Amino acid sequence: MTDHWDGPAARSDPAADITDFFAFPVLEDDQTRLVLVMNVNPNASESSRFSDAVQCRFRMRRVTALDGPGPAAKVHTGPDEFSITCRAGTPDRYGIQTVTFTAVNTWASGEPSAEMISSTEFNDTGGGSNPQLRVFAGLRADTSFTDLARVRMPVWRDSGFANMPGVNSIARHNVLSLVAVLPVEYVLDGLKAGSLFAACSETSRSQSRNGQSTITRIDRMGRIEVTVWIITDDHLRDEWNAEDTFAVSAAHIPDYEAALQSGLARLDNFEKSLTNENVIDWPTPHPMIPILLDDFLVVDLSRPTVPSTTVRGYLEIEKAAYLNVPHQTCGGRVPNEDVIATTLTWFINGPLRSQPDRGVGVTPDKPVGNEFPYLQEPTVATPTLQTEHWLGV
Amino acid sequence: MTTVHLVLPLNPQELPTTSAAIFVGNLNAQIVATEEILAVQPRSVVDRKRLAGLYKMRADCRDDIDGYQKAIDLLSDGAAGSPHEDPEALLLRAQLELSVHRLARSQTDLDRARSLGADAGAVSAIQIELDWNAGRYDQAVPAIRKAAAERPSTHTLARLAELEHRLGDDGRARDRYARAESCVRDTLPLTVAWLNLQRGIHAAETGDLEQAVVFLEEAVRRLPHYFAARECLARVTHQLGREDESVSLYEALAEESANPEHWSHLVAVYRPGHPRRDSILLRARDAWDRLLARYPEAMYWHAAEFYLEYLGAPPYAAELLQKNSVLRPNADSWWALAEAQAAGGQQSAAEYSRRTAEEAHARLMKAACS
Repeated sequence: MTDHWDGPAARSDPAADITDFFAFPVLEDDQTRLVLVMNVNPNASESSRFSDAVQCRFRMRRVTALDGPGPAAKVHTGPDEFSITCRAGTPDRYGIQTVTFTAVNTWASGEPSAEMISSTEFNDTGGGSNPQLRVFAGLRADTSFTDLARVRMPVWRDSGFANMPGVNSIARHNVLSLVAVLPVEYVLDGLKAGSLFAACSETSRSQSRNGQSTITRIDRMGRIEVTVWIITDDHLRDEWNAEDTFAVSAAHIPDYEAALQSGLARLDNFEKSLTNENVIDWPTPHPMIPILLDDFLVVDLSRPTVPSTTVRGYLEIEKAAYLNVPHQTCGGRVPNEDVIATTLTWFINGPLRSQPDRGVGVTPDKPVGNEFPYLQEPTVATPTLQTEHWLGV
Repeated sequence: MTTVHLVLPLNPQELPTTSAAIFVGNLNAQIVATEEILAVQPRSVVDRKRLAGLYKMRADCRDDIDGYQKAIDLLSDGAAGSPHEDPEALLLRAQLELSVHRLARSQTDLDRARSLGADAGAVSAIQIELDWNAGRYDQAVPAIRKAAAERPSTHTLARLAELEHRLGDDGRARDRYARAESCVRDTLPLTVAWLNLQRGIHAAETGDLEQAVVFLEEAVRRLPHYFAARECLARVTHQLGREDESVSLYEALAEESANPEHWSHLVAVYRPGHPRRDSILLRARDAWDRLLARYPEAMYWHAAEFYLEYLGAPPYAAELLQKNSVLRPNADSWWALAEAQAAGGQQSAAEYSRRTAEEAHARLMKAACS
């Protein structure tokens, strides 16, 4: 699963557990807009609600340089930041919950920036209170798709599962989704100084002690599977998730590098030769470690796509930098693309072989559409139990 | 005039947690959703593990041993899936078996999980409790200290605090609990309520009942659905002579909970001659006998307390505690047995149990010093 149930802190409160994150530009009403989607709360159903103690935040910074090729591949970001913070209130007696999205640019120079605010009621698809910042918050079908049995199986050099129908292990699952759509011009002044941006998502709690306010990060997500397949130690998963994506603690980097090396080597070893020996394609240390240490999506806001596309743009900009070729897509991540296939193909086959495709033979259970809020209605089979039934409260 | 300084737990502004109603709604929703998914995909080990974990969390809140068993059954149904070679599933089952004191089964699952590469921290946490229950203090004590030093977390530090308390250093215990509170990383109200319950139990055991109430009230405020915290608060308010409050807490618990421990404590706070006293005692006895038949290992001690305190049957209590001591040969078990034997006039047996308890305690102190 892409980021579901990762790390003890994220697992403990589902409302803080990010399952997926998407970032991509679209063309709507002759205007390029940025779409940001964050899903939380795996296995949600009708009585699930956002936490009133958890802030869900989208963060973006401008990419200032993209180094490459090969082991030199590295994404550099600037100090200015665009963010959207989503805060949920306490549901009323009918279960209606209001979620407020606050977008703001924070300039390193200290220059003030006006906030853009939009509020919406849980499950209302009307787009919220501010037409410039269209928002949705509610129960939707889980956008992830994979065959959990197959992703753990070894593969042979010349064949894979991509053309053999698999079983989508995440079919019928639901999540709580947050969707925000806004003109790209608002994001750090848009495309004036370049079109590449780094984007990530995080959940956190904000506390005030002895007159000082601090933030404790609970979960964060840029790319898929980092704290699921690749980093497998629970304590380290929590450490990783608590980091500031744009300022990872230098003291922890050796631990992360070791864990990434171990996880990536395990993926590389998935491929077997005809005589059942490991096929090794990547050198040690793994040259993708510097890229993965910066856990964000790299998205090109000058290349609008459509929400329902299945074109694989995920990791494409980073791979292009590694191979020293121009990128072809908007990068980022769109919901219907097979990011499991992209990830497995790159990390199992190595940088020089795009075939065989390492997809596991599944497609989305409920593909997203092109109409806001894009994500599909949840799968709800039977009415859920009420809280009253649970404990007599 | 002396001023009493009470330690205040962090309040919701200082340590925010998801409100209890949302937490309960989300937990309930996840259980329902995962049950539905499993009905369609009964062979999904992932969903089986998730659902078992959710059942465990609900059982933790409700003090519900049947909930633990339900989770164990889910992880043991080989026909519908194969959790037997999954380290996470084995680890979870080891934890659940530990909760119902089936220690040998827990150890078997834990050994298998360890060999399959389960998370070392989680393995260590269960092994510590197995060693502690068995009186293997030379293993448990260094492991508790090592876990807190290498992986400081709410749970490892709270476990260290409990150890310090057992060793008689309550100042250190309080300090460790405060550190455990500062390590809370998530927004789950159960985590904070659980920690405040531990601090309340500790304060009550050291005789600081007013301090205990402060922690226990915060635990109940964070999660009113947490039966263990409400029960402890009822007990401490009774000890403080706040009878109306205590009776009200116990009556609500007796109404909502299937745990006979809450019913029998209600009897203790009713004045002699109360019209409900006898009927509640009968109901509790039937429930204890049922639980003893179904979960003997988990119930020996609890049922013995009931038979000793409420039914005046020390020989039967001693018989149950003898079985408990075989299962869990640690200092606490032997002390409890000695007390029941003494109450039943079995003086020489009580003396033997007391000596055995003292020897076990000496082993604990030796392990702490080495």
